[in-house]
Amino acid sequence: MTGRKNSSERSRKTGLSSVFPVIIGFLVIALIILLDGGNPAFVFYKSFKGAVFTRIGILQTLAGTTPILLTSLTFTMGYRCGLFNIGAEGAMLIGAAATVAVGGMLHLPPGLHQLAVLVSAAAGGMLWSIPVAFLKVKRQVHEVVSTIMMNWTALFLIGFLISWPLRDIEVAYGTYAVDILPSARFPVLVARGPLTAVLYVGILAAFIVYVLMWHTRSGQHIRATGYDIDAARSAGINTPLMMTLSFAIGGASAGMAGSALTAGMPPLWTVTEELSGLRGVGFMGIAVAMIGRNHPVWCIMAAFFVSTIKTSRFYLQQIGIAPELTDIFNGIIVFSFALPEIYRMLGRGLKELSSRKQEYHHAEAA
Amino acid sequence: MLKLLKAGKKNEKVIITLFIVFLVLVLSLVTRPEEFLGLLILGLNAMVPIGMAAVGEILNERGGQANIGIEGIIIISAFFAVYVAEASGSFLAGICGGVFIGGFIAFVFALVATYGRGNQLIAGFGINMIALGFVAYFLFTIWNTPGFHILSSEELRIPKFITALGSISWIFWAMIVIAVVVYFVMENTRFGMRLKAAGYNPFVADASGIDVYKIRIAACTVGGAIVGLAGSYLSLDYLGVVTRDVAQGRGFIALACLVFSGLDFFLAIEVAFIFGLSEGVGLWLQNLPAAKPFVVHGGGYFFLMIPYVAVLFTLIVFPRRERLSKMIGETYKRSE
Repeated sequence: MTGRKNSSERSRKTGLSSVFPVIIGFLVIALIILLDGGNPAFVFYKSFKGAVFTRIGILQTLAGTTPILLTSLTFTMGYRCGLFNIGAEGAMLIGAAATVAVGGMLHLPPGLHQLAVLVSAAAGGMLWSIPVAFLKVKRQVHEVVSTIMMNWTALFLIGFLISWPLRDIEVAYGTYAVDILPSARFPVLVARGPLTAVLYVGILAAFIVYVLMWHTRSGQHIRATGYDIDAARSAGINTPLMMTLSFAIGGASAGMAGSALTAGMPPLWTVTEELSGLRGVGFMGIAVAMIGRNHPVWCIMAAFFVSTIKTSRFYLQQIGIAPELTDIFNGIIVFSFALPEIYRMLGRGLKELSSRKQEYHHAEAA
Repeated sequence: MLKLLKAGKKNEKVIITLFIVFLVLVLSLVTRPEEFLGLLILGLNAMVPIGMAAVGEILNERGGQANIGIEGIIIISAFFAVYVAEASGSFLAGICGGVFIGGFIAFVFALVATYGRGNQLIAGFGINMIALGFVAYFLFTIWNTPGFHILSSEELRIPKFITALGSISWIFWAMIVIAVVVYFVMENTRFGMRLKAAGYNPFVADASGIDVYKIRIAACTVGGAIVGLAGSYLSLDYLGVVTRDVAQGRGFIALACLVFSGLDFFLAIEVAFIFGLSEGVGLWLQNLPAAKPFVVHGGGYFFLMIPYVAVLFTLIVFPRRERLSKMIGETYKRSE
């Protein structure tokens, strides 16, 4: 009963309440820096200047936007269907493994090869979400549990794949997967920078999800399932199918994020054993989806913002601050989104205060 | 057998017990005797964080709140337990620190979920994300190590209960005692009855004069403290190290126990034993001669998957009936 009320409240939220959690995030981070004996203003200035106003910084930020946007679409698809799909991390790793396998081991002409890489990554992510959908639909297991189990399985599976079947045996030091062939790499847009044409894939995917969700019949059914599952069922909607569809499209999107991080991310063009740059992108997508109010088009902007935070890690390191500060920031933003009532209460309190003041003035005048 | 599978809760307990006996029998046949004993003891020690977290979370969920942030609570309390133990030089103080921080985080969560009327899934997952960054950040700022910190001296480890057959941690027995006590409180005291009422149907509970919010906050805090004990055990006893992902999904495995047991304490602990045992089985398989190429080439990653696959497999194979109240995890708005 209350669940339904929540979902109707959800749609009434204004864009402004997206700003509050971000402000809270900045405040808490400033507090942590202060307690550590640093100067928050200096840290924020340095990191934003680095991430947005330097040539390499802005290119890195734009390049990082694509994977985060794609993983945020996973969460968005789930949330709109009433699911809490946090499996983007695992599907993304599987997508990366599929990209390395197809892009590094098959020989195809350029153009076709990029397409093959994207399709295989999407298929990998989609396959990875099948057990989750099965458990949700047939066994009523909450997707939070099953997706996290799939994430950990994927983490160790890709570790195994990199260090044995996909390993580049020519590299003597360190463990690397095979290089993605030049024919499968996405073309670099700006010379000597990490930005590749995979950015267009990300933006296209966001618009496809938007059209699918708001302008097709299946999209409407998916949203109806999320809005009120009982009503949707009694209206004749095949709700298990809609949930499966939501998981599958989300998995495909996260899989493509994996290929954006490998076939679209110079200068490495492959995966290391430490999965540098890969881990955590799935969870960042959740923060993005929340800032973007679970709307694909808003998610594009939110993804740019979170990507800025991600890029600022390098600049934080330069001034001697542990880059994990950005993870705390993302976490606090997500946590703060659980507090809509507090913002409403704050707003109500302010209004009451001002009206009381007015009454007081009226009384005085009288 | 099929009939048994389709039957109710009592038979489910029997099935799980039979399954465990079957599993142990199979293991005893395929392993050497001394290996088998080690495996069982490893299973018992490995189940402690999972079972303990499951007990704490059941206490919380009986009151109607689903806190998926227990993974984050485990990580942060594991970190705090080590920090306090090293600062004070005593493992007891470390355990207290872990328990306290676990209860504190759960208290904040409960405030958000009740008076704040927040979405519990989002708040819980936020705790998990904060925990990942928090521990990595403070590992770096306090000890200047990226990603991990090994306990500085062996004396800070929780002493073990050593017998001729093997050593089991004291915390294992603490887990059993806590489960029994919590079960007793749940079934035989006024607080337990009220808590169950608040979880099962908060509208009726509220109408009959129970302060649903306060009782939920109390249950969530105590549950969080128990989860904090699980985290302290993990870093001060079982692993002896604190890392960025020290919990390795154990909080979520505990949630899987919950899903599986239908909020029954002892069923949850039995399932936790299966999952703990699977951790031991993974280590055992790694040492088999047939597994050698996987270990040499695969860097040991392959067998780390086993506990998670075991959880998924168990969830897929055993069908369960939905017995939980629909209200669990939903925001409850008290009428004013």
